[in-house]
Amino acid sequence: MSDASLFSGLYQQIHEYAELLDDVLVNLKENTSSLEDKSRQELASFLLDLTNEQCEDLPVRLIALALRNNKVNLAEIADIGQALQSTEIDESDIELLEQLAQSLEQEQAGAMERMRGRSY
Amino acid sequence: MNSYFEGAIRQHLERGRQLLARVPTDLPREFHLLAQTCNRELAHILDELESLLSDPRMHLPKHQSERLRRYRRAIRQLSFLEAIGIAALERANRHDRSLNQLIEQIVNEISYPLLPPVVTALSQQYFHIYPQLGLLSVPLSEGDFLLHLPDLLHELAHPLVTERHNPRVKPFQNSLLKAIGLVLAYMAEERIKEGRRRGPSQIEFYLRQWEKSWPSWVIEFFCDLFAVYTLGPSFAWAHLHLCAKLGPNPYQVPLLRGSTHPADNARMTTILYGLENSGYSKETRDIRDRWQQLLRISGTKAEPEYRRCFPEHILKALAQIALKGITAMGCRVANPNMQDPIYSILNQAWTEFWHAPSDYAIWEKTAVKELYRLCNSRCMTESERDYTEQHSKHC
Repeated sequence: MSDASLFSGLYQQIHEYAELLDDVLVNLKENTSSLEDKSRQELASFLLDLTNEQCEDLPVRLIALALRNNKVNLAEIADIGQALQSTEIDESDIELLEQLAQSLEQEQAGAMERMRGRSY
Repeated sequence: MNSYFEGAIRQHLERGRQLLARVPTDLPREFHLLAQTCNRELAHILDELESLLSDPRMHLPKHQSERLRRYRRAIRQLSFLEAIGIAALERANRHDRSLNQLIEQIVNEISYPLLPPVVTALSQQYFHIYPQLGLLSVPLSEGDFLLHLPDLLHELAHPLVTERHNPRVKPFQNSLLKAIGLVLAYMAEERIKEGRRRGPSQIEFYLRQWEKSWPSWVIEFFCDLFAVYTLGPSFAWAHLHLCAKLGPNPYQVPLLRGSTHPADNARMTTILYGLENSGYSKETRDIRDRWQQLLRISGTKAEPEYRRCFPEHILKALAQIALKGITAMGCRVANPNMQDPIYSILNQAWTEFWHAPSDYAIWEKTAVKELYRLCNSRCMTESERDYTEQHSKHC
């Protein structure tokens, strides 16, 4: 009945993907990421699901709707998802991933604030 | 910022270890799962913080953004566990135990597809649930009264939305996705119509706020519907009770920014569609009459924006779609001939309330005792009885 129940769910859903994204970003910046990396494959799949309006994974759809409300460009995200599934990752893709990581960070911090009131 | 991270992370590592040491070891059985979750999460945070210190890549300038985000996530999670999970464990008491036995009975009675959450009477924000901890929080004395206990069922529905792996909840989630698709299609149509009309730009702005809000509203409507389908009229009465006491304008529609909860009148309308679908025709009429009386004395009226934001055909469709999901998930749907014990007591409470309002408080005292006696006798195994006896002697 309070906002806590709603935002607790969103917080939980974003947390896992935010960790995954930062893990992949570190490997990409280190040039140690390969197509076989499990985390890279998972991230690519998540990004493509985010932009797929037919995706049947409810938690992923809810994240997509939250990001769309905050003006994240989902078309660009689909491009990065595809790039992660190929060898064609360049600096601009990393920059977009960095922006997405920041958006997820803001979403998660916002969800925590709504769950608990401002926590600092 | 390396020096900052060096000092701050070590301090938080110490804090995390201290919290681990504070997880009580002599908890009642109902709290074991929460204790395990807190231990596991704390261990994960400690590993993450260690890695931020020891991974040489985390000291490089090019990874400082990732380091800061990972650090913040870990600290947020640590602070959340401290304030919510560990706090609930530290104050677990006999009263919590009764509520936990009640939730266990409810879960069994309605064939809930997930494990029961742990209940703590530590809430400062009405009823709410933290699905990631499996922790349901209720106000301190709420367990001593019956009229709002139906709201427990609303909270039980939230983890059905966030569960990612258990296939049992898939029918419910599929229904919810279908409902979101339906309302977003409606909102898109409205925006197209508005574009053709070339009406005031503020209407276009309102429509955007509603479109942003609808996914959260669908979740709330589905949680209401889960409660009314599994518990029947008492949930609708509980909604009326809450709105009478604390509700804002029941026709409130967000105009400047999105909102998380739909208007109370839209919620009641949807709840009553659900009740009608379950065969409670007389109860639906009674509750609708009382609700209309409440609306009248509150002096509020629906504006055209309300009707556009919450059209009847959408609310009716939500009730039908949710019923399919709940039934396909295998949950027991309430009906007027049902005799299940918790269902009976919580619905009886509202019958008594309206039958003899001035005597209700006296009736309720006995009924609450009877409710917990019933839950206790069903939950308590021989070994737990021994534990309780030993513990009370020791105290």
